[in-house]
Amino acid sequence: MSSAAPGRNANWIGWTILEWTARLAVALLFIYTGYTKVMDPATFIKEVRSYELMPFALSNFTALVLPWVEIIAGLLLIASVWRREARILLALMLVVFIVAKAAGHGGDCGCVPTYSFLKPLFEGWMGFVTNAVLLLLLGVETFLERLRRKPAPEALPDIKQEPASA
Amino acid sequence: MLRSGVRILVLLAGATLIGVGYGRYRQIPLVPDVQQIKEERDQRAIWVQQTGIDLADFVRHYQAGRLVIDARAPEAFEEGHLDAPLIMNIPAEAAHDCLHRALSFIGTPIVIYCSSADCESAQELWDDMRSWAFPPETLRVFHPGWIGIQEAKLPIARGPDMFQDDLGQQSEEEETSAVEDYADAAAESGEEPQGDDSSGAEEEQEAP
Repeated sequence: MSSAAPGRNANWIGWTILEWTARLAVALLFIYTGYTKVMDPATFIKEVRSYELMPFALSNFTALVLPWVEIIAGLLLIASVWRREARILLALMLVVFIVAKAAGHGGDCGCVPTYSFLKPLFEGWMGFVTNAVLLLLLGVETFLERLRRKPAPEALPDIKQEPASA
Repeated sequence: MLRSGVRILVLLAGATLIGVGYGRYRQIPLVPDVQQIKEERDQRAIWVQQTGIDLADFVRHYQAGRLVIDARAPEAFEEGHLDAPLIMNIPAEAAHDCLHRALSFIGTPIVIYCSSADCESAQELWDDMRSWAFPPETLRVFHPGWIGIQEAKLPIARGPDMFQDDLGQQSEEEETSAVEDYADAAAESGEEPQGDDSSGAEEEQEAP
């Protein structure tokens, strides 16, 4: 069954590969960006302050906690533990990042360090595109997992109405 | 739905615990001290004014074959750095392990740069170099940093620090004694430590 053409076959191997590709792309990116922020908290604190989206007094707390949320959510997504909750957190963070960029912080988003090879992906308008693509990948990953979990029609128990006995 | 909500709260609580614990480990206060930050900003503004070198002087400096120090992390240096005849990568966080490589340049004009005008690595390294008896008047900082180098379209290169092979050739005792000897000599003479080429630094400071 699994080697057949995609069609409506939810068990097609291609869906699994696509699902895991999307999952790993999102999760690894969050783990990487979280790790770089943890390694250089002083820089991330400055970046959080530059957004001016929250009271100054909360900037340190946010900059210390947010990277760990990214890392933990990314790890849970890969480990398939509390995946739904991890997805919700990751999606929420992506939405917040997109809104923050739209709110006037169009330059350096502080998502990755200046030396990172991923830096061009988060500069200027590319930051919007990257965050939107990540959100899309998260949606694709969720959809494909649900698709695969759906039982195939032939696997469903044959329910027959037994004739009512006297 | 309720179960998901509870799990999300547990995740956030876990991240908060780790984040706060990590903040304590790195000695970062949870609530910033506004007054202290203002004072630090003022002090930094003065330091920036005192140590800054403009683009033209910076170009003259490295083209003359004088030492440039990149204070960023080795990964950042490998990704790209100024293509100067004499450039070293001395990460601020590993200054005490690497500064012996620059000891032979004590007294000569040295320019440090880090990632951007906001980065602190250059200042950290500048402080460390002062404590290693590098005369402060010979230490200048190109404040726009790596971003400024790229914006000015200065030549850039990739790859690791070519001087890295020198690491470990000098024992710790030798490094310490060299620094102590220099500091003692400076203290005995009662003068600010000056190098052979310090006049070059003064020339650079005066240059427009």
